Formats: sequence, structure tokens, C-alpha cells
Amino acid sequence: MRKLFYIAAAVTALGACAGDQISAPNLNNPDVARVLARPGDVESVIANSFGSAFNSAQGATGGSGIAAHIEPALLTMAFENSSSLANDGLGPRGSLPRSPIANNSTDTYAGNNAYNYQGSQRASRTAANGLVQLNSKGFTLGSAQQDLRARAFAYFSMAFANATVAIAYDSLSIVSETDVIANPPSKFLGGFDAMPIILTQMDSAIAAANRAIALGSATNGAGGGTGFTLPSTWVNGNALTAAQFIQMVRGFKARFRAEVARTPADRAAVDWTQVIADANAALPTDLNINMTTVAPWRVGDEQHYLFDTWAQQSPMIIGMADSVRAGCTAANQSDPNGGNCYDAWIATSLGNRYAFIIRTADQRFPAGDTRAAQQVSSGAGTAQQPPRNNLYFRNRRASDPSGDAWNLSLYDFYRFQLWNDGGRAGPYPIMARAELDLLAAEGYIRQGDFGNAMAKINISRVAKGNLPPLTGITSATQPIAVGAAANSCVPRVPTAPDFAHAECGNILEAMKWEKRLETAYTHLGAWYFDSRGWGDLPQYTALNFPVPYQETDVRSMKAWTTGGPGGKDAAALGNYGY
Amino acid sequence: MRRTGLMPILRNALVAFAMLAVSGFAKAQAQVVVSGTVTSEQGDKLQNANVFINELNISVATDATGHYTLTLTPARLRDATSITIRARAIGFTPTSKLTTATTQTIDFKLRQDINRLSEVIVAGVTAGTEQKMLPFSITRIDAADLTKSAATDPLAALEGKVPGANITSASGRPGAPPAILLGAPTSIATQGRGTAPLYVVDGIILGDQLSATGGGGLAGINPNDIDNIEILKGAAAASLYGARAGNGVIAITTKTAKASADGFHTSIRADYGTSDIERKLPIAQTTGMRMDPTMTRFCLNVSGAYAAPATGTFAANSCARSIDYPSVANFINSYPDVFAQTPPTFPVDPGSTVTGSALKNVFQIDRWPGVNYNAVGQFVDPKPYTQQNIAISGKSGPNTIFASGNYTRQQGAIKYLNGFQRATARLNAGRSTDDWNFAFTSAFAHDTKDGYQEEDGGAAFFRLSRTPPIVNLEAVDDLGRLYIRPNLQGGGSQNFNPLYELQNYAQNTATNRFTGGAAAQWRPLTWFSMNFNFSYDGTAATAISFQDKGYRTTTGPAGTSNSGFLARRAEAQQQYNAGIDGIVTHTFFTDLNTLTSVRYLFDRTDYNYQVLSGNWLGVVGLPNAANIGSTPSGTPSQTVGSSLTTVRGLGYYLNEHVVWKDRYIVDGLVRRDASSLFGSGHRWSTFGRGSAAWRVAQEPWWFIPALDEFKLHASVGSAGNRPAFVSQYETFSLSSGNVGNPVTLGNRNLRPETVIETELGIDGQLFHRIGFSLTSSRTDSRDQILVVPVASYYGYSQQYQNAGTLAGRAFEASLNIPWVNTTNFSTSTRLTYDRAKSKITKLNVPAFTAGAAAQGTGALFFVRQGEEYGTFYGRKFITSCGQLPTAAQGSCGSGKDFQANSDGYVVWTGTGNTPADGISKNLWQARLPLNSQFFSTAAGGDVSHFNTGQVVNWGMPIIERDSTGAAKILALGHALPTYRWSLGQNANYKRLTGSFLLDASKGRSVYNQGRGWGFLDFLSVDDQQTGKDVSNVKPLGYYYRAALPDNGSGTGGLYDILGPNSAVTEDASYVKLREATLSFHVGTFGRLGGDWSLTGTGRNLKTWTKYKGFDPEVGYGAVSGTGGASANSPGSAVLNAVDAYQFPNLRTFTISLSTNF
Repeated sequence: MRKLFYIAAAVTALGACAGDQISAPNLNNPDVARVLARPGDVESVIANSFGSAFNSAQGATGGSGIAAHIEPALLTMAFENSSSLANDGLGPRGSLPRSPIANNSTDTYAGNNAYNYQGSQRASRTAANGLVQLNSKGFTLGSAQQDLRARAFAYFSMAFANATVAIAYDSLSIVSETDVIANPPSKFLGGFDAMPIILTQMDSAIAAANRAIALGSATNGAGGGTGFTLPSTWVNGNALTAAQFIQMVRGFKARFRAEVARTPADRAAVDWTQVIADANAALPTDLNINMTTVAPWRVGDEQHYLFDTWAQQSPMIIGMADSVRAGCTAANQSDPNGGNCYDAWIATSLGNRYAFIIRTADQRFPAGDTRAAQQVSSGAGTAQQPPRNNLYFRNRRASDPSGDAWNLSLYDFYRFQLWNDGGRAGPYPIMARAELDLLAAEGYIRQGDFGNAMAKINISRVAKGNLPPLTGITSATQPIAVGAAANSCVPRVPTAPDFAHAECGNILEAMKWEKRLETAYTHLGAWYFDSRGWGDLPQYTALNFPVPYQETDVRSMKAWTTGGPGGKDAAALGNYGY
Repeated sequence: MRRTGLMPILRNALVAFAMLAVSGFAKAQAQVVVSGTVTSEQGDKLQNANVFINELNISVATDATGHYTLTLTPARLRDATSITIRARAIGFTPTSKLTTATTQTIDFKLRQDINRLSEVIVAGVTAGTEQKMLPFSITRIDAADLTKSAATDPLAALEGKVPGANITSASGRPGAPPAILLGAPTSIATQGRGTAPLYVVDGIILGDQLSATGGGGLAGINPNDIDNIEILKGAAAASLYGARAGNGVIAITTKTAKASADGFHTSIRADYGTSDIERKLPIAQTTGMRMDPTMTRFCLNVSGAYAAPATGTFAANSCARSIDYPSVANFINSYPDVFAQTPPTFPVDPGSTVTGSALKNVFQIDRWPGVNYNAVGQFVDPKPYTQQNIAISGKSGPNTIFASGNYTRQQGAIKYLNGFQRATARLNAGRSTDDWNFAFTSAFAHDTKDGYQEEDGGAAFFRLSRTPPIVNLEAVDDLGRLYIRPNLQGGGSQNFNPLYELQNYAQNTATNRFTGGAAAQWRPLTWFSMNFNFSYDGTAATAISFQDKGYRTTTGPAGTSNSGFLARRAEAQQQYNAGIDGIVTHTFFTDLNTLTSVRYLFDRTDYNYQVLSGNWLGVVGLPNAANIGSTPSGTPSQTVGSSLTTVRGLGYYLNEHVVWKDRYIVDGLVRRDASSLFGSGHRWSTFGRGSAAWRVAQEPWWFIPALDEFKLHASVGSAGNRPAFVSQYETFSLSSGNVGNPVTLGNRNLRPETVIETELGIDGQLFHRIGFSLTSSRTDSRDQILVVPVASYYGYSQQYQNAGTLAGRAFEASLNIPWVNTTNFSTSTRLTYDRAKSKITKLNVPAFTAGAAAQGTGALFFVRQGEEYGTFYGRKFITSCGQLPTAAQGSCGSGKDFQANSDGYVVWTGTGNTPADGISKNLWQARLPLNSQFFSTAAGGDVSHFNTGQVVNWGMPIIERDSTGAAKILALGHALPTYRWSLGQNANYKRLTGSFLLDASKGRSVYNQGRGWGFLDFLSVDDQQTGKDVSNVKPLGYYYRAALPDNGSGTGGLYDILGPNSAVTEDASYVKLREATLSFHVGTFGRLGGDWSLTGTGRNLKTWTKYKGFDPEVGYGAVSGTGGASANSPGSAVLNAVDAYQFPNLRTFTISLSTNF
């Protein structure tokens, strides 16, 4: 009996190991309950939401500095950069003729295609999660102003992230704080159709900020009558007051209204009155973010490489600056210091083009008639620094890159070289004041207000380019210069019917020139989104990215492609004849 | 956290056992003595034969004269009037005799059991069962087959010996565990889980492998301690082990003195040998770099010259400046700072991007000038292999002890590396009383190894493959330091001297492992017994990666890399298992024997991991974490991470084993398992099996007397694969105290994968001699655990789901032929054959790609319904006219525009030319006209401005494309071999014994990334054009990268793009002389006494293969991380058939001297 007793005891003892002991907590990764457990944490989530959205739009993937998303492709698709490297689709997306954006698992760049989409949607959801907590009954971060600041910022982040997707992709599931997560929308919303919702979210951000201002004024609260001040880490390096916050949001509203357009018709249909109003009410200076060496405040590297094969500036666009030798011939093409020029270049078939010296009055280019002289003008010695802060392009110093003939260029982008050499850390403009001036200028042109348009264009045209100011323009088609001056005007653009010669551009082209030079490399698709609305993209260029197949797959939908001959959302023959 | 309550419970249980034991010891009284001798049929006296009475729990061994004595107390007899005495010896068929319980003499004469049909199997069954009585397939390998292999890892010692066990030594780094796959793959995605089976040592379930420090597996086990290994390949056999055994089970039994005669015995063994690398890494011995007319100096690039594509050739007189390579190498390396100076740049530099017509008019035919160094020869440095082993076993009445100590040192064959060192100690003890058996086992192992993380595109072997013959890796600069950049060509860090890295980058791991267990068996009644066991497996491992401050790099200015780097990782794992069972045996109708068992089990695993790393060390020579500093801008450079997990499991089963007339066998099992790894909504899963066997040859009506054993067996059973720890949880990313994005959407319904196997087999024996075994199995692995992306709308990026079924088929066969078996001479042959494949038969999520994690292999595999698992994909070069675009197919063939060249690739030649005309007609510069009718598309755009985007150069390989012009992604090969076979041959003549083992794999493909990337730098041996007829030589571009539209600077060569293609996917079939031994039995050695043997052993001696890499036995191991492209990786080197700069396998020769006292 005693044995049986002990056996029974042993069985019972081992049996006691059962019960509810089977579960084990996860002590390594936070879950949503832990993440939003305390008011301070909710504020942190919201504070980080714009960084996440920014990083999803144009940041480096991880801390490595590599921009493995759509930005490198957008650069080459609009000639903001040219490179024949396969990395991140630089060469393939920018090659001519344009091919469709393959949207399947075998596409080398499928991960790039999905990055901005998924990252932005998740950043929207993060902001929305914060809003849901803020809206929950009895919840407060500590004060009404704190709550309004967080609410304003969350709406802004959510709108920014949703706008990134709406502009770059053909459709999306728009994320908001009112979603019932268990029932995601079964259909995607077109980017153009999504914009009113995005603008409403931005208006909600502005309204919250205004309420904070009103509250601050009424109570002389902590915001000192301005409602609140954003901690400088929220938009890194910008301790914005509520009023400045509103200015920033209105700047983005102006940008997004214009950029969402896919075609010239869409662009014409934009509410330019609102764009002008928002642009004029936006921040009076550049919006700089203090970049660091780690995510999220880190811009993807490809934009700033000056290495041989990663970046160069095809003459496709910047050749329009070539103002000195207008009318030259194509003789002696193989001599880079010889007789070639933009006119001859565009008259030559694509496969036989050679890089040439751009001699121009625009001071954003190096001066000099020879390559050696331009290299000296670009900055001598070993220090790779622009000798003046309005030198945006450099005659590359040593080895020349390879690539398609039309890709080859003696120039690379130089404006942010000093910043780049500093480890890509420090203030970096993500929205230039010039962009807003030129958005307003475009609105004025479209409304026939050429006086105001000229004034806006001349701001950078004169101060940065040292070009003659626009005067006396009374029509949108009128060249900005006539007679002999027309041969040396900037810009000179390929002209119909053959597009094999260049002529002095009109006020719209002058505005486009300024906008391209002043916004190059500042934000996602700076040239691309404008170019598609202006009708300047090469024929068959995809007008937007398709919803990534990774997204359609999880919804059991068939993926589609955009761009390419006969494809969905493919650009028509561009204004420049390609 | 709640306490589990395990320790107090077990403490109580052990107290209970102790008291029971004491109560059992107090019964010794008067006795019955049975004695006799055991001999073979030939009359040889059998020492260490086992004579036992199972029902009375008594067993003794024979002495050197074959004599035994069984002493039975009345208490032990328990009033029995008759007893069944059995005699058993290894290699002999046991015999039973029924007699009265009186003092008497009984002799036994045992017949040889050549095919080991009477061996007792203990794994997968609830009570020891003879091999011939098993209703499913289990392979057993005995000690003698293991210890002669000179393998430091028991798994490696199994290579070629077990049909159905695909064991791949994917890395030759000493101490690196081999990858193993038993039967057909059962999981699509084993990232973080692996394909390794469950390891059980003396009933101790070992913890999962340690991933962070590369430890785990069986590396801590001394092969000399092993008595036998049982391999359960399928779920049917392994179902006893439930949710952890879906990949099968390897059960190891270590030595005890249980079967010895009384007294102490000592065995000593000392091995001394050396290791080297059998095969050579093929590197081009010629260069295309331009030299001056003396062919001794290299021409330089003149900086700043702009070269337009059409004129980008280098004229013959362009060598205005030239350099002496060794002098410049000395100059740039002798720079006193922490980096080498930048070397000059060369035209047609193999380390830089080569563009323009050089790709079409430069042929790699010039020998490098001056001394030609053999980098591989400088890198490989044969080093000693030594082993000392001592084992003492002793028996005194009911008490047994086995103790051993071993020190093994395998230093490998790579300069500056010290390889693998392991010290082990083991103590096994037992006590057997009237109704109790106790067994205690304990083992400790300490091992160290280095060279960790040197296997990657960027580490030492990669850099070695980038070393042309002119480069002297052993050169030292004026300051006595190894050159940091002996290679002057472009290419940045890939020109880093790999020897410098090995000399100055310490990457060491150290592992301590203790395993221990206590088991008690209580047999209060002849028909009833109980087993209790508790076991523990604890491993603590540390790893250190250390580059001292001042570490030199190839280029300046001094930066992070020179500031030093330190990473320290520590991980520890404790696993506890406990179980209790009750077994009832009963015989009905005299010949219907039944065994019923019920078992209850508990397991718990705790895992703890920490890592810290950083740069900017304060002072030299201190691998102390406090030495990690901040960047020049003041940012702390330390990064830290950790993981803490606990896994708990419970289970119970009921097993019924029925044998009728010794020829009809039926086995049934039901097991329920719970695990904390399952989702909270699905904590319990059910597994089980039903098995039957029919020993047909035992039927009275059996009409083929020559076929004396013929067993048919069939089994259906299930076992499981558990999810990884993180899988069920909702997670956000976390770093430096900052919560990042949502990552994983939790899944409370996550279940284990359930592997259901149907196994059919035949075991037989002819003429009492020739043994054969055939086994066929089908598996259905349901509820595949996959990482599935979720709509980004949710905010989370992924979820672990049960989302598919993998169906496998496997077949294995073995044949044992003892040709001659006499006292003085014997010889036998053993053949094995197996094949295994799996197919994805169901996928509940959209198809996706998965990778091997080596760069460029992120989409190597397709996961889609109908896919044969292990097929890998990439781009194909056209080898037949039918693969050309439709518009070109009619223009393909002899004399036409497209023809096959000497390599078999269809290339564009133009009408009237042949692929041999490249030089004689000066055609290499030609390019298929833009907008050619062969490639233009109907909607090809504005033809006056654009080409079609696809460039086809004369004579260059052409990628197969679809109608849109996109490259097709096609099946290139298969990671699983079509079949494998082995042949083992043993011979013995008097005192001389010899053996060899051939191990072969047929039909496995490997993506030879090393060779492919060698094309990029013109260092692949294929680039070498010397010795070829002028009609067959190919220019540089033929081996270089893709042309438009995939790339702008290439001409369409075999490197193509970064990823896999058909040119570098190779048949990795091989036959290896895996083992060869020659042993001389010296016997007693004069006054020294003992029983001495001298043995010479060779391992991995010779490989016959057409594979062009270092070693066809290769694969890319498990990858780190749980997200992204690698999330659904096969996670095992058996399946990741990628050759990406791994350590090649070692060839080892040893001489062993052993003796027994």
C-alpha cells in the first residue's frame, strides 16, 4: 500500500505541472496593449508618426542609408537623375522606351514598389491608433492643449502618409481613425478620389491647432497664447508654434492638390485658387528637417551619390540651360569641348548622343567654356564643396559614368554635396519656399494673372540663377525672350513638330525650369509628379505605380501593371517630343 | 511571472523514489544459482554475452571464458516454479530456455545474427523491442560503425550509413554541425525552426539548437561514448514523441556497464592526424589587364579622360604610364596609418566596372607577370587533428558505472584559425535490485571554435576568391605587417587581404553543455512496471567578435572600421523533461502477448540571449564592453539586444502493442500534446499511429525456406512541428526604448504542423545471411506554418498562419551481403539507396517567393500549389532555337542568324557566319541592329528615337524572355538529389581489418554563386582563354554582365545579373570516398599487457564530381531574422543549395592507437 501511495503521490505531483501553466508571456516584443498603456506612450506614438510617414515617403530603409523604395526610380523616370545601374530600378525604370511596371513576385524591384505603399499605410494606421486612444472617453494626455496638439499632429501625419500613397500609386485603402479594423474596405479608392478625404484630415489638423490657439488665447495657457509648441523632435529640428504648424500644413495642402494630378487635364482641373491661397499662407521659409544618421530622419542615399555610376544629370532637362551656343551644329561631336550643344544633341538620334558642355547664363551651373574651366568653377582641390551656395550642378571631376548614350552627362547634382559630406546629417529642405512660390505662380498663370506669376518666378530666377527677370508677359504661349535674346534665353525647350531643335520657352516653361532646379532632390518624386501633370514625361511612362501585388495578393485580387506601350496609366507623347 | 512549481514537485517525487528504493533493498535471503557458458555456433566463447530473466529483472554478463552465474533470491523468484532464461550477445540471435527454478547448469550456443534482426530498439516504442518485431522502420547504427569515421560530430559520423538520412556537411568549419533532413521535407518554411530531428540522448530530450552563437546540435557529444544511435525517420515511428517529432527523431544511447561482467575495464585511445582540403578553388590564371610591351608592367588609366562609348577603346599606344605591380603594392601597403593608400586605376580593371568595346575585344590570355602565387595554397594550412579518449566501465553486483573523458582538437586547415577543441566528461551509473532499476547519466562538454561568420559574400572566403595569381597574400610591408591590400585592382573592400582578416579578426565561440538524467524503473509485479524519469539539458554559449582598435582597412580616411569593433553574444538554454508511465503486460491464450502503457510528460525550455556590440574602442587590446565608445560626433556606438523565452509543454499517451504467435504485430498509439507555442485558442493537439506487421516467413505454410525472414509492415502515424516562439504573438518593433511599427498580427488559433505518414515496408533475410529492407513512405504535412503578409491597411505587416500542405514521398532500400564469414576471413558489403521529394499540394495564401538569404537569392524558391519543393529558380540562357522569340525562331539554325556556339548557347551570328568567326571575321564588335525584326515589338514606340530596349551583341549569350521582353524566371535545378546511394565494404583477415565507405548524391543542383560572381571580376577559371582554338575564344564581355534592358554597361555575358542563372547552376552530383580504415589488431603488447589495436583512418578522401566549386557538398545555412524575404526560407543547408563562400569540407587522416585493460 505504501508503494501505491508513493506512486499516486508522484503521479499527482507531475499532474500538478499541468493546469494553466501552458501559457508563456512574450517578454521580447511589445504588443498594442503595452504600446498604448500610458498617456505618455500614446503621445510618443503620435509624436513618432510623422517621422514614420516621412521615412516611408523618402527616407532610408532602415539605418543603412539605402533608399530601397520608389524614389530612385522616380528620379530616373523624370530625368531628375539618370543612371544605368540596375539597383532599385534606376536604369530599368528610366530606360527608353519605357516599359510597364511589372507588378509580380518575379520583378526585381517588387520590394521597392511596395515599400512606400506599405510603410505609408502603416504610418497612417499608427497615427490613427493614437487618435482612437485620444478620442476614447475620458482619455487625456494631461491638458486640453496637449490633447489638441497630439490630435492636430496625428491628423497631419495620417494625411501626409495617405497623401503619399494617393499621389504615387493608382489607388489605396485610405486609413482613418474611424475605421472598423475587422472589416477592411474591399475596394481600393483612386488617388484623385482620395484627395478630398486627405484634405479633410488636414483641415482637421488645422482645426485642432486653431482650437488650441483659441484655448491658449482665452486662458493664457502653457502655449503662451499660441496654443502649443511642437517639441522639436516631432518634425525634427522644428519647434513649430500652432500658427507655424498651420502654415506647414497649408504648404503640404498646396503641394498635394497639385501633385495628385495624373495628366495635364487633371492638373488644369486642380482648384488653383485654393493652391494659391494655401501656398501664400504657408511657411515663409524653407521647411528643413534636421537629418540624422539613423532612421527615421535620414534621406535615402541614392539621391546624393556622386559616384560614377549612381548619379548623373542627363541633358534631357538640364540641357535646356544651354543658352550660349544656340544654333550650333553637330560637328565634332566626340570632342567634349567641341561644337556640340543642346540643339545638336536633341537633333541626334538617342543612341548616338554624346555628353556636351553646357554653357549657360544660369549661375546654378558652373561657368566656363571648357570642361577644365567648368571643373575649376565647380570647386578646385580635393574638398568636394560648392564654392557658392547657388551652384547646383557640377561638371564632374574625374571618371565618367557609363550608360545609354542619351544618359551620359558631364554633370551631377551638387547642391547638397556639403550636406552629404557631413554624413547626410543636418538641416535639409523637404519643402522649399520656392516650391510654394512656384505653385502659386502656376496658379496665377493658369488664371491669366501673369504679373503675379512673373513676380513669383523671378524670386529664384534672379536671386539664384542670376537670369534676367521676366517682364512684359501677357500670354501663356508668349516666349520669354524674342530676337537674338531668344537664342540665349533660359530655358530653351525642344519644340514641335520635330522636337529636333530648341526654342526659347514661355512663362510656363520658365516656371517649370525654376521649380525643377529649386526642388530637385528635396522630396519624393519632386520632378516626376510635376512632370506628369505638365505632360512632360516620356511616352508610355507609368503615370503612377499600381497597388503592389503584395496588397492585391492578400486580398485575393489579381494584380495589374501600369505604364508601357498600350498599358494602363501610360503617359502620352510628352511636350518635349519623347 | 508565476512559478511553475516544477522543482518542488520533482523534489518530492525523488524523495518518493528514494524511499521506495530503500524499502526494496531489505529483502536478501537464500538463493538459487544457475550457471553455464555461452558460445557461438563455431564454439567460440562469447565474452560480455548477456544472460537474463526478464520477468525477474535480473541480468548478468559472461566473463572472458564465456561463463555466467545467475543468483536468484527467493524474494526475486517470487514463488516462481519455472523460469525463462535468455542469452543474448551483440551480433548473435538470442536464445531462450524454459526450465525449473532450481540450481543447475545451462549452456547456450548462439547463432550469428548477421543482419542484426534481434537487436533491441528502445526509441519510438514504450518497451525495448527486437528489430524483427517492429511494425515500422527504425535504423540502428552501433558504436563500431561510428568511431572509425574520424568525425568529431556524431551526425557527421552517420553520413552515408543511414538510408533516408540526408546529412550534408555544408560547412567544413571545424565544429560546424552538419545539416540533416530525414526523409522528405515536412515543412515549407523552417526559418527559426530548422529541419533537424528531435535529438534524444539516453532519454534526455535535447534543447533546440542555439542560433545566435552557432552552437547546439550534437557537437558536444563524444562519439566514443555512444553505444548506438537509432534513427526514426518518419512520423509513424516518431509519433511517440508527439508535437516535436515531425522531422523524425535521432535517439542516442551511451555506453553503460550493464552488459559487462563484474570488474573494471579501461579502454584508452589516442588519435593523431592532420586535416587539409581536397579540392582546389578554380581561379583564372590569366588577365585581360593591359600591360606595356615588356609584358611586365601594367598600364594606368589617365584620370579625367572622357571616353564616349563608341570611342572608348584604349589605343595601342595609350600606355604612356605603367607601374610595377609588386612595387606599388608595397608602397601603398607600407603607409603607416590604419589604411592602405589608394592604388592607381587600371584600364580594363577586373575589380572595377569595365565598359565599352574592351568587353568585346579583350581576351583573357596574358599570364600575370612575375611570380605567380597560389592564394589558395597560402590560405590553406594543414593542421593537426588529435584525440585522447579514456573510458572506464565497471560492474559490481547490481551496481554499474561508466566514466569517460575525451579531448579532441581539430584545428582545421585554414591559416590563423585554431579550429575546434572539445573536452568532454561523462559519468553513467546504474543500480539494479529485485524490483528496481536506477539509471543516472551525466555529461559535460566544453568546446571552442573560431572562424565564426567567415562564410559570406564579404568575408574571408569571398575575398580569397577575388585574389588573382599576382597577389601575394603573405607579403609583409616595410613595417612588418601583412599587406592589407595586396590586390591593387578596383573593388574596394573585396581586395582586403583575407589572411589579414583571419589574423586580426577574432571570431570565437565557446559552449558549455551539461546533460543529466535520472530514471527509475519499478517492477513490483511480473506483469506491471512503472518508469519515472527526469532530465536536464543546459547549454551556455558565448561568442566574441573582436577587431582591435587600429584595424587596418583598404582605404582611408580612418573611420569606424578602424576604430575597432566588439560584439559579444551570450545565450543559454535550460531544458527540463519529466515523465511517468505505467506498463502492463499480459499473455492471453499462451501466445497472444499484449503490452499496454500510459505515459504522462512535462517539458519546459528556458532561453536567454544577450548581445552587445559597438565600435570606437577606447584602448587597444581590450575586448571589454566598457571599451566601446562613441562616434566622433558623440553618439554612443553601443547597440544591445536580448531575448528571453519560456516554452512549456504537457502530454500524455496511451499505447497498445499486441503480438500474436510472434508473427502478427499490431501497435496503436494516441498522444495528446499541449504547448505554450500553440496559439492560446488551440493549446492541445492530437497525434497517434496505427501499425501492423506480418512476419510471413514464420507461418507454418511458408514455402520458401531460403527466405527465412520476410516481414511486411504498414504504419500510419502522425507527429508535429511546433511554431517558433514569436509566431503566435502580436508584436511591434522595439529599439533603444523606442516602439516602432506594428510587425506581426497575432494568431491565437495557431496550430502545430501535423505530419501524417503512411509507411509500407518489407524486411527480409535470405539464407540466414543476406539482409534487405525496402521502405516506402508518403507524408502529408498539414497546417504548414507560414509567415503571411497582411494588408498594410491593418498596420501590421505579417501574420503566422497555418496555410498549406506539403506532401512528400520517400523510398529507401538497404542490402547487406556477408560474402564470406569464417574465423580467419570475412568480408561484407552494405548498400543503401534512397530518394525523397515533396510537393506543395495545398496553399491557402497567394503564391510567394522565398529565399536562402545569401545575397541575390531572396526569391530562389516559389511557394505555390503544385510546386515541387526545393526547386530553385532564376534566369536561363537560350540553348535551343525554340527558346528564342517567335519572330527569330525561323532564323535559327546552321547558317542562319542564330546558331549554337561551342558552349551550347544559341547566339546571334548573322547569316552566313558561324559562332567560330568572331576573330577571323572581326565580328565581336557587331551588334544586332536596333529595332531588329527579331526583337522589336509591335508597339515599340517611336522608332526614330528609341531602340527596342533589348541589346543583342554578336556571339553573346541571350537570356530567355517572355513576349513583353521581360526575362523569364525558370526552374534551374533542384536542391534535393534525385537519389543517393552508399556502398560500405568491410574485410577482415586474421588481425587485419579494412573498410571503406562510398557516399554518393545524384541529381542535386547547386547555384554556384562563387563562380557566378567570379565572372564579374574576370577571376572565374572560365574566363581564362589560354589553350583554346582561336575559333572558340571568348572576350571578357562574354562572361560579364547583362546588357540592356537589364543593365546598361554589359554586353550580355554569363554573370548576367546578381542572381542565379542557368550558367552558374551546376549539377552537384558526386561520389565521395567518405571513409577508409585499415586496422591491425596487435593484441597483448609485451609487459604492457592490454589489447592493442593500430588503426589508420581517412575521411572525405576523394570526391568524384563535375562540379566546379570548392566542394559539391555545400549549402547555405539557416538565416538570421524572422521577417522579410527570409521569413519563409527553407532555413536548412540541405535545401538552400547555394554555394556562397562556405568553408570547404576537411579531408582528415588519422592514426589511432587503442587498447583495453
